[in-house]
Amino acid sequence: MKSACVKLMKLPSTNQEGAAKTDAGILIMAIFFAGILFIAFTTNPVYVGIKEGDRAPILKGTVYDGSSWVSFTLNDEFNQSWPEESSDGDWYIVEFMDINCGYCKTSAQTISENQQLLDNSPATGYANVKFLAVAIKLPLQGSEYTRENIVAFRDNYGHNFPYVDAMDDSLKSDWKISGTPTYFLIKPNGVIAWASPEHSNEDVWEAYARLVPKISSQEAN
Amino acid sequence: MDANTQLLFHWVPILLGLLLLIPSTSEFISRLFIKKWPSVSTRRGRLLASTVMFLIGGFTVSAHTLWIHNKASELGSGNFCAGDGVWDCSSVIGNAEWNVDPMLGLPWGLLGMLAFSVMLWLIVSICLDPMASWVRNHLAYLRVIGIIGVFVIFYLIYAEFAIGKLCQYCSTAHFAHIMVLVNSQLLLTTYDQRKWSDSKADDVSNDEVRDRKRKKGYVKPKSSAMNAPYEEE
Repeated sequence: MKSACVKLMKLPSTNQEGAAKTDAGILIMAIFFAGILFIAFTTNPVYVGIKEGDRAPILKGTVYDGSSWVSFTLNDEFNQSWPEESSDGDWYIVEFMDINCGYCKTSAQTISENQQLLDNSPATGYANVKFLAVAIKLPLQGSEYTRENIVAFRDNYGHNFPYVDAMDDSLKSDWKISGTPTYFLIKPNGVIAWASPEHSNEDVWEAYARLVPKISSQEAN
Repeated sequence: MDANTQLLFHWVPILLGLLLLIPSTSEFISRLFIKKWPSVSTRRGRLLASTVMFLIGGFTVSAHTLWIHNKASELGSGNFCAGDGVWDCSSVIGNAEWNVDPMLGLPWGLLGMLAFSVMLWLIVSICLDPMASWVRNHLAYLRVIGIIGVFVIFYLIYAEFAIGKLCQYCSTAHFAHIMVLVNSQLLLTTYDQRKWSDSKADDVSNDEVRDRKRKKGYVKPKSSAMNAPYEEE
């Protein structure tokens, strides 16, 4: 019995083969984790997402600018090297809405009332803020979803900002839209400064006043 | 140090791998390492060493790509390796639409690190025990990963054309991967043509490799020398 145990412990060829794989595995894992640790300690990436502090996901589509439908990518407008706290650059309010939803219609009225705050710096005293409405389809039963309806909705409320046609649901999943209207206030570098799903007690206009930097009196003049 | 100069460091092992692979230079290069690694005196040893070099180059450049990806996300893509010409890794690695894989959402650099790590494990374990029964399986896995990787490379080249720029870091990783695929085929051919075993370098014969395969690993020792470890003192 003792001799059998001794024989087993003397590493037959199969064990040696296994040892080679294990040794290689330990070595490669050590190299891999050393690489990952170095990257983790020397970088601080901003992840793409829809939470505050995330980089805004791709927003690409066909937009109605008041005269025609043209292709547009919001992310191309961002300046990723924008210095924080600077009053330069364009901030964006992005509204995901459904042209047939009652809340969106009420909201559209409020937007009309605040339209002078949009794309009107330095008169507002704030850094420039642009507005982008993204028309998605919830869908609501018995409702029509056409580009003509989007144009009619825009004209009905006297809006002068662009509307994106995203009724093909191309943006709904990336932006995780579960209801409308949903608002995002985005900094000029493309980082989300405020998201309505995270603030039930504050509306987008209050967030505007709180977060968008004021311009100095010299700049205002 | 600019991005193109940094890239040269990744090319050092890749070029070494190439020199070990090219017949006209492999003899000379192997002489430099023969004291430390006697196995490079054989064709098998040179092929294995060459593959390891390509994999090291591929791994480090993938890690660097992941680092640039994270930095581009942190500080803005315009701050790294941007260029006015067609070579502009910033526009490719910093492009949010294309810089992660479409299925898992993982950065391509991380996937490259994982792929090169797995291939390194396959090849380093062969280096540690070149006569093991699983060597041919490992070489076959290496070739399979190499072939799958070619499709990924095609997709990434398509992405580069869609963006309109070429990424020098990504292209280096692609080159390293293609060379690993070439080497995996050469190694398999060497193995299948029974040119694998070198009696001077190996302490296990070809017959034993075949026996180990047939008997799922264990081979009853034949010679008295091989019986020695099992004898009681």
